[in-house]
Amino acid sequence: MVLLVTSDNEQFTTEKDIVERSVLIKNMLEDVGESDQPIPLPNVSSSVLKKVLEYCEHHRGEPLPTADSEQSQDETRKRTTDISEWDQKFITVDQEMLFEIILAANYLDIKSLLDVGCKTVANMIKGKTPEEIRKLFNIVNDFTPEEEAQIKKENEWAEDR
Amino acid sequence: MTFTPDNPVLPTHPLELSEILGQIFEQLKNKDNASTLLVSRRWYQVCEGIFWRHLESISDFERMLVLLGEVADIYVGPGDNASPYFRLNLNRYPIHKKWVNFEKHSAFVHSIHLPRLEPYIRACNLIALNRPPRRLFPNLRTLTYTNGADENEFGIEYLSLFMEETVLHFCVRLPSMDAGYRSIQAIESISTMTNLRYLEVTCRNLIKEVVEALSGVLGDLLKLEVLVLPPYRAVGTIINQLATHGRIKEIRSKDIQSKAVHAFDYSFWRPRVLRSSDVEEPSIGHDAFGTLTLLTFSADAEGVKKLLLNGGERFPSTIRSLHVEMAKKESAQDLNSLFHVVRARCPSLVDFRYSDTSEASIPFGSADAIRWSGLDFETIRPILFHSLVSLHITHHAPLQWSADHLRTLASSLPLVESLTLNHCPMENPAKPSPPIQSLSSFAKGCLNLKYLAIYVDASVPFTLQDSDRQPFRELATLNFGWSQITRESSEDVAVMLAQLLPATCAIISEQGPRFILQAGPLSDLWENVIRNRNMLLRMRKRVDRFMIIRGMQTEG
Repeated sequence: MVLLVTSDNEQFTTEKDIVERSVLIKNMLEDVGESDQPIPLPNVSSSVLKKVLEYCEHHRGEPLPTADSEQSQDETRKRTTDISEWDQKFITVDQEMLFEIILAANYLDIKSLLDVGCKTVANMIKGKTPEEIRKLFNIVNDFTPEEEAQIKKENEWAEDR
Repeated sequence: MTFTPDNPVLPTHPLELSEILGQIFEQLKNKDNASTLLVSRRWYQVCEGIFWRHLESISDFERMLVLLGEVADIYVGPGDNASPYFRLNLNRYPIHKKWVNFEKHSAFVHSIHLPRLEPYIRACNLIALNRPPRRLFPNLRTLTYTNGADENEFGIEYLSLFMEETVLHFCVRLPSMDAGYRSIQAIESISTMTNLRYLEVTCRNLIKEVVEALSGVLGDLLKLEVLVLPPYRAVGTIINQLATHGRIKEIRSKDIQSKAVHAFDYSFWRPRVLRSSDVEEPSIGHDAFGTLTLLTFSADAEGVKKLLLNGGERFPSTIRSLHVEMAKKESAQDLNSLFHVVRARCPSLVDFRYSDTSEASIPFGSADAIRWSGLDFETIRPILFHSLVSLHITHHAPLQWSADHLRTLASSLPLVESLTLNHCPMENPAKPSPPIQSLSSFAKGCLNLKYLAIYVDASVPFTLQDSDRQPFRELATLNFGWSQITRESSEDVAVMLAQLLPATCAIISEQGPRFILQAGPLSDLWENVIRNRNMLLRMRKRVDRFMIIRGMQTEG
């Protein structure tokens, strides 16, 4: 069993093979060997870690993505924003929680969870205009009108077709 | 002792992290990324490289070319028959400033799926004459040209413009034999891509001269791991050239023409094989093919045996997949002897494919029927390894097997997941066996089967016995190829399939060549079967739901 301590000092005890979906934690456990010491996760709150552990438990035992499979994906690349039914349900949360899960997945190095999070954001962007995207994510347009016109001109080929 | 993670400071928002933003943009099509580019400066910086990374469509390709000039259709030909022949009008040679802009963007490009180049030959010509003395696409990894026409494809002459030394993955569909010299030219240019790991050459009918040119080029591609060729083209000339390559893992064939790999090429009226006399026999030398896991080659039975036997102890023990393409019809005795050799030399085989070809005889009438000879079950028995996961047999004549033989096959291959049992035999399609009902008892022995392609006789009406209803558990696709069916039997077949197959299993039948259709429009009848089976499944589901509700009401 592994003991995890969140940023708000809550403790979670979980099985090693569940938590080892996180490459960060897996490496830490390997470096230290057998130990009862708690693992502090100062960047993950309890509410987020609870979700992350739920994900890891559901996907327990599934093979971890390897460097080889990532490379071959790049070569015979197929863009897909398809998300499995369970993952879809799991990631149906408010935007704040979604972004916290993505940050935690990135920090804990859980590639498949990060992938689900990024696909979800990509699905939110699909079909939207730049202004709609800015509004959705509260982003300020810092282009000058000239810059914006120049980029538009360069890329009108993709917009039209 | 307390653990301390290395990076305790985390950004407060993932969209502030370039790597996460990049991963999000990777999921989007260029049409959507054209919007993300315009969101903010930060998004533009991250997205620009991704936006140009993969040129996958005509508009992506033209987006790149338009950096050098103006895209405008120039029509060639009289009046209404005019066609947009020169799609890009560079007007004059691109000026230096335009080249700088082009190079800034082309450095981002990792993969190009080229459109048919013929409409762009003028643009390609100007680029070829005016290009800077540097690589056009210095980071290109994947190049694909599979959209060319089969006849007189001029565009392929300009394919070499895009062939960079950095390319790792290259697929090309060559025009057919009419454009032999252009194909040879394109093949010879491949030698510039010395880092290639994957090379795929497809063609409707690759001529001997192109195969020879390819064999010469392979000598330069020392990093090659996978080679894919049209059927019957992995001949001795090719195999022997690759034998000492240190990295080759797979030599495969891929047919773009039809499912019937042994069919005649009717458009040219030539057999689609190279004759044994035209090519060397494949051989295995000392230390050859140390890394190979999948070997496909074309030879006659004697040539195959020699390859396996002459290799002796040297025959690579790593081979798990062996695909043998027979260049001519062989007697049952020769085949049986060959299969014994395969069994002895390839003990770790999990995937075996055998296809023979009908070199010239096409059964136009009943008089031809006497010429075919079926592949009886005893002939193939030696290759029924317990460890086989995949077995594909393609033979010119239907397999003369009974229901008992199918049962024996199932019990001999407990691990099999993919079975192709000559579903499109070229000769004598009117007399297949076994009957379709025998699939029922066959299913019992094939618990892991996911793909089945089989030629059965579904032409006689029948009634399925209750004791025969043994459904397939895992089957995802059932391909009946050119199996015979009649209007009278189609209802029985639909009922049987509704009982025998998982609801998610797809049923396929294939449109045969014209002379096969003499028995009637088979595909229409099979489509009816598929429709009726789906209707039965829907009705069963509704009835089941009704029974459940009824049961709940009764209990209540």
